[in-house]
Amino acid sequence: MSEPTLSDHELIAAAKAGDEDAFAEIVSRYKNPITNFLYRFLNDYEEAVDLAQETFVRVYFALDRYHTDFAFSTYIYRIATNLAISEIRRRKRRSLLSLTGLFQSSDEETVEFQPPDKRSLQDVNLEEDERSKVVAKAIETLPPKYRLPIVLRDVEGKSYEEVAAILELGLGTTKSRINRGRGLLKEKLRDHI
Amino acid sequence: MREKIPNKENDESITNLLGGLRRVEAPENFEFGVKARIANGEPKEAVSPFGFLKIAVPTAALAGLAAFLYMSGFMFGGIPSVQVAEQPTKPAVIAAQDTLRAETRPEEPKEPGAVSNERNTQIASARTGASNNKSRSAVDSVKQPNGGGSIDQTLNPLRPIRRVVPVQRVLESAGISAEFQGERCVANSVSGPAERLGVKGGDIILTVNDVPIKSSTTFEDGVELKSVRVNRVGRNLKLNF
Repeated sequence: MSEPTLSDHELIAAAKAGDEDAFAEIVSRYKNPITNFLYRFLNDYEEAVDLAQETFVRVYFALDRYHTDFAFSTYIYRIATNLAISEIRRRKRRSLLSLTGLFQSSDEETVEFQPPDKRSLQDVNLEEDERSKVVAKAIETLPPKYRLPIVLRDVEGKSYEEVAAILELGLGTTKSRINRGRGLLKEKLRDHI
Repeated sequence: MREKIPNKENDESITNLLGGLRRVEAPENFEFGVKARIANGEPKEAVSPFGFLKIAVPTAALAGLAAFLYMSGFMFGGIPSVQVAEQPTKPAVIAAQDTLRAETRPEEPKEPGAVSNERNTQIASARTGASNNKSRSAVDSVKQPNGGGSIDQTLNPLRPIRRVVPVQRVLESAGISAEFQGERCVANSVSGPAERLGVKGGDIILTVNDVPIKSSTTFEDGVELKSVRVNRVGRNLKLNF
């Protein structure tokens, strides 16, 4: 039985040894941050939950390949990020098939194809006020290369170093993208700041 | 004077705005979903089952386009002067049987002097096959006097029944070396039968076998040159071989 105070690495080691509870504890620790991160990145709750679950499945099957050279949180966010990027690419492909794709003009202002929101009406937890919806929409319209670091830094509260490690970017590039992303958001949210 | 807002303040305002977003939580059945997926086994790499279409579709499209252009070159393209009579229609099954028969049949010995190579054999077959058709007027210009039948060519709708050559090739067969200057076909040098007939270098070839000549004009390979109409210093002359 794993103790709740165990570190991530200790839990991983226990999970590698076949301790199912240790892996359940990892899921319990990270399910909300990962779901929130994916939700703010994709602005689609069902997709976020789906990819968050997929993230843990991938972690589980890659336990043997995981090295403790860097923080587990960096590792799991990186997996989630890669899945999210794949999802964005899938959406872009779908958008090419939709008529709206014909009228997209520039990268910066691209409004990506959004499938209908399938959230159940009973999911009152996700009801957000108008302002939050505008902010979420503004985040969603950012190009992914700015959106990812912005969400990790300003929504998830990661340090610049952690963001850089998750995105496998240099620290300077990471800061630059975050600044650029904030600038773009400021333009979009001028009326709300 | 406009007040300039410091950049840091902007950053903070955005950070506060984003940080103030309500955090969503995973649903209650999240763990169950994860366990169910794990029970289903390791996920395949996120490769679409139709991923091969990325390569296959453009390749097939290119191949189709190439095939179309190739076939249209045989069947329609650039043959304004020579039209081969339509093939008699035949049920596909019978045609396929004939094709198989034709493919497995040993080659018949060629008559000396009739045709020199396989290419000419095919054209001769097309010619003679077409001669059996009622709409033969279209192929009069390519008709051979010693005609004959070719079941192989006539009954096999899949095999191209003719090959085409540019008009220069036809002219060369009579000793006229010609080139196009724009759409004008000009004889450069003349020898052999054409020279004896009176064609001269510098003549502008207007028609060949009464077919007006353009740079895109083609004839069936092996067509007999019967007549040319030339313009020589503003005067039109028709020369029959």
